[in-house]
Amino acid sequence: MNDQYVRNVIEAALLAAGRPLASDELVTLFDERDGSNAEEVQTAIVTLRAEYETRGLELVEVASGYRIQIRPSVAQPVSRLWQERPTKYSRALLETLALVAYRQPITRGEIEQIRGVAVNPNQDVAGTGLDSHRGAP
Amino acid sequence: MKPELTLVKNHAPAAKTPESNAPAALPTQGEMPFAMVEGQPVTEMPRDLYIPPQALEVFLEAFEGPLDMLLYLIRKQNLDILDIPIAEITRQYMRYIELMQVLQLELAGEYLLMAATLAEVKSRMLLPRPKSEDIAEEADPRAELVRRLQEYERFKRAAENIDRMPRLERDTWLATAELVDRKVVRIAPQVTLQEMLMAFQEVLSRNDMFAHHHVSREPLSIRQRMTDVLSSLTNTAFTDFTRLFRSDEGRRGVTVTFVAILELIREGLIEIVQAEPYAPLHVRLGNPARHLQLVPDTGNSMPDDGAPNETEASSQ
Repeated sequence: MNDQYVRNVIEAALLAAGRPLASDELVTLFDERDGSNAEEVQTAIVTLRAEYETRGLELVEVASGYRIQIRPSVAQPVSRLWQERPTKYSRALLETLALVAYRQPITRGEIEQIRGVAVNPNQDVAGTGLDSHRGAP
Repeated sequence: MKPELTLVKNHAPAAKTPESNAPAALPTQGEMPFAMVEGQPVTEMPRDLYIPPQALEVFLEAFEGPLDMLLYLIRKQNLDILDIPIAEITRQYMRYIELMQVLQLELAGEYLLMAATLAEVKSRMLLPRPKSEDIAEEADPRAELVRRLQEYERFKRAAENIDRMPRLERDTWLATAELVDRKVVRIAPQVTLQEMLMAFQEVLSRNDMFAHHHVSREPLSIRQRMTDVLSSLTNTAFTDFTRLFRSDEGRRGVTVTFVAILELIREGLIEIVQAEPYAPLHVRLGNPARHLQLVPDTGNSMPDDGAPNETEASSQ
């Protein structure tokens, strides 16, 4: 299959998806009879990444797959598009996040034990998309 | 007794703290400015406790808790976390707590608990140890506190590292492109007879709540009702299915209306539509192409298909 075509499909898919796409997902975009395989997709990603090198965008791999994002070196001027400043996470929230990240599953009591303060239920993990199953009140 | 005495002395912070450290421990501690008030760095807390409240409040509220505050006191004086002079730290800690109380900051119970813990550690260290125990194996009363401080510091640092990680919507943004001409097939739900019956059931049960004693009964003709329903629909594009029923007619009247609606649907004079599953049913006039002539109610005549039987609902 045409390399350029594979690259174009992957680029377009990454831009259209609105979320990171794993390489497995990218492979499924191609017809089987086209004979595309994971290797080809991988090659295309490497080439694409190199092509973006000189651009304001970059292709990166995050935990859930690949995505095309704004290159951090131009993030500052781009951010002027929006009036609102991004919310700054409080230290309490970040410490709780760190505990969840390294010690999960963890109970609220265990978090309070290590941090030495009671967790403010209104503020902390709520709104960050984390599940609270174990030991949740 | 002699070794015990030296032991106590060894653990007493005053004995361990070199003379050079002593000035920092006095009330004038604070080599570095801990706040800026109107452009002036505040390096010293006024001894008469006249404190620029705004500055100090901000400073004191910045602590995440007693462990954080303790860690600050230790780090500020470059003390070894494994060998904390408990008495001195406790004294400083208490001073901050008093300040918080003077400023009437909301003082969480955890701060007081920590003060008590510090005092307990100190008194344990002052107690002579039982002779029988090996001194080397005896746990340092500070061990638990040190462990907690170290653990908290580790996660405090981890939190700072997490904050430094590039974050979507803050440090970078997802690049997107619009896919024009995207075809999304939306299948309109089919209204089944079952759903109509369920809607009817609902009307019936709701109707039961308005049930009254019927003194007299009016004869109800399905054909007449069909005409009524049709004429009520001519002025509006859509009518709520349930609005076609009149609760004051009782169960029989509602039934006749329902049968009339079914007849009208069969003849293609009206249509039942539903926007999506579980949405309310609506009734509208049918396609004029399939319009059928409605035979006026003569009381006896029956059309060829024999459908709308002129049931006089008056019976019974």
